[in-house]
Amino acid sequence: MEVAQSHKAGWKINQDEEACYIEIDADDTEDEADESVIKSRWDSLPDLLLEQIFSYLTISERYYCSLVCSQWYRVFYLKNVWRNFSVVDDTLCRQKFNFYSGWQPVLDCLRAQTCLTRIGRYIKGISILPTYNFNNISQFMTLLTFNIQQSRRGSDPTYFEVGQRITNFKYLFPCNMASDQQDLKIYGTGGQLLKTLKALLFELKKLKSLKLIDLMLERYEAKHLLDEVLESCNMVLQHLVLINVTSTHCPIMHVGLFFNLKVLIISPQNLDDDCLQLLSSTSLQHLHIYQNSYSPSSPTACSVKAWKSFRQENPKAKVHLRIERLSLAAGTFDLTLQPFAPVYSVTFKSPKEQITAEKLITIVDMYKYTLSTFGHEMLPTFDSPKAFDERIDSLLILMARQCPNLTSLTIRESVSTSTLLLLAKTAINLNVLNVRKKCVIVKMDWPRNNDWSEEFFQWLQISSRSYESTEKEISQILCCRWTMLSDESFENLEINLPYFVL
Amino acid sequence: MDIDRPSDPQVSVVSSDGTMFHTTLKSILLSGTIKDMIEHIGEGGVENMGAIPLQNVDSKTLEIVIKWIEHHKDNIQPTSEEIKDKTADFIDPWDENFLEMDLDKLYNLITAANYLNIPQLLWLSTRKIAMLIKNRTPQEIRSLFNIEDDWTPQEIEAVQKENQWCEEK
Repeated sequence: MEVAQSHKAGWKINQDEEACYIEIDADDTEDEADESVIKSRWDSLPDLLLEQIFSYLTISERYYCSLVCSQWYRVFYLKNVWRNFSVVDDTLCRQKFNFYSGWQPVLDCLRAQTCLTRIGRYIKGISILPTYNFNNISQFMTLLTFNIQQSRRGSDPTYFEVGQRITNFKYLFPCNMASDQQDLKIYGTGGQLLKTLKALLFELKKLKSLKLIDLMLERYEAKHLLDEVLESCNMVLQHLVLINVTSTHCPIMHVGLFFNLKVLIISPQNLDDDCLQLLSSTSLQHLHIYQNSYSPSSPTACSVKAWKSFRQENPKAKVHLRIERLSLAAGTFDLTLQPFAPVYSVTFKSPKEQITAEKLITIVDMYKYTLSTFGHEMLPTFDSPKAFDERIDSLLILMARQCPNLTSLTIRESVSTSTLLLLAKTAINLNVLNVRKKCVIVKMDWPRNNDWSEEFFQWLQISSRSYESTEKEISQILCCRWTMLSDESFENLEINLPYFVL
Repeated sequence: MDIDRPSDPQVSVVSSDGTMFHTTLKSILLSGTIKDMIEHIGEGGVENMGAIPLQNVDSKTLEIVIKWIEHHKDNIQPTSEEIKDKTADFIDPWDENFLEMDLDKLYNLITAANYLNIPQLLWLSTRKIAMLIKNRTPQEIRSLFNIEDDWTPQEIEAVQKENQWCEEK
């Protein structure tokens, strides 16, 4: 890109995030006046901010930035630039020609070693996110393990503090890698890769957060998955995510042995009464029980008895139930309800999940004293019924009435304006109410209730006559500006759950 | 924005060049810096509190910041710690549109968001800059931001050699 330095021109950003070079016309005198003053302030942006900007870039982009000027070069070596380090298939690779599959990325050990030597001591979080090339990932993990061992020995300055600051580790296994729409075949990790992973985990002594997602191990492997972590980090680990360690029922007892664990996100097939009993004597605050598309279709829940003693032993712990099923594939797949657990939230992320009377009444019945968040994310692929008797309006009001702690409700099916007004009035602690404008029916379709005063009935009738008046009244009740959501906003909506980050 | 509950009182702020702006308490509390100030005087004193002087923010920038905080006053704001480990990259279309501004304004916005301690706004604006840096050569980056090349040929060669491991091959 050729750039002429001229006072009569400048850079602007257009809609495609492209910077474009523009001539400044006479009518743009204001900008022109500013330019001489502002010229090249960017090289003196405070370190803290440049550090933040660099951290969003890839390794090679950071390299280009380091060549820009001496100040930016210095920023390249600031620790927060390298705070989070992601390893994907071709990270630190070179291309190698393979007779059968053409050019393939192969881990460049020299590059990887230089990388670890230079910046390995700054890394706090490692995310390993392969999509197909497990050999490179395995080699990288081996190299990192070796570096950490060397740095701990302390005799060679090359390995000074490499990996000593790692507190967060994430490993996401692409267990669907060979899937096609009709025949979803699920592969697991295991074997050599698992050995490498476990060796690395053993070297990480300061882990606060560990996320192992979709490993799909064999039972005999799963039972020993956390042996090393438990030995290294049983006092320091605070946040543990174990999703689909296996595809079949296989409780992981280790989860209950981390003394300072605060948050556990686990799939129901890896949890049982004995795990719960162990967990009840830890300082656990949030237990998310999470199912996704790869979880078994109907895992067994823990028993009423186990939940009862869990509540007694650890009354502060909150349970969250969530199911995420993004594919449209057919098949029965239900949220596993944990009977009489202290459930604070029930959330769904699936285009198909529809509220039914049976399900909702069970949820209300079991969790009415604790439930504070309920909702469905994503736009549905089904049409919700329009007639009052077939809609979910009365179920929602039932929930609002029965669950005094309800604070957040996300509705994607059709409801009427009068129902929304009633909901806002009935659920006294409600402060988040998400609805799709497209599915709100402007109508007063509730029969007169004997408990309502004449005044209330009138208010309901008048306020439910338009979107605007409904929004205005609900804003007043919720004490904040409240609007219904466009489908675009609703599609991107994420229900706020405590410490739920995968 | 016409519905302001009684418990969300008006607050005034004054920019470095002396322009006064009115906004609401709920909006201005998105700024960690101002939140700290207000906590010191106690919320009861907010009604009688005078305009808050902001020495480091000019009126043009303050106007932009206020537009943003008023739009986001009801949203849950992430803390600066949460932002550091943020992985999701979703940007609200409103914000995307909001960030369509020239580099000078963006520079002022970043420094203002930093001074006022508004983590989400700082994340958005710094991320915007990162997006502009992407896929550009060092020379293109220099030209874009009007940065002077202060390397000697020997120096640049040394840096290139040192950091070569970063380059994708």
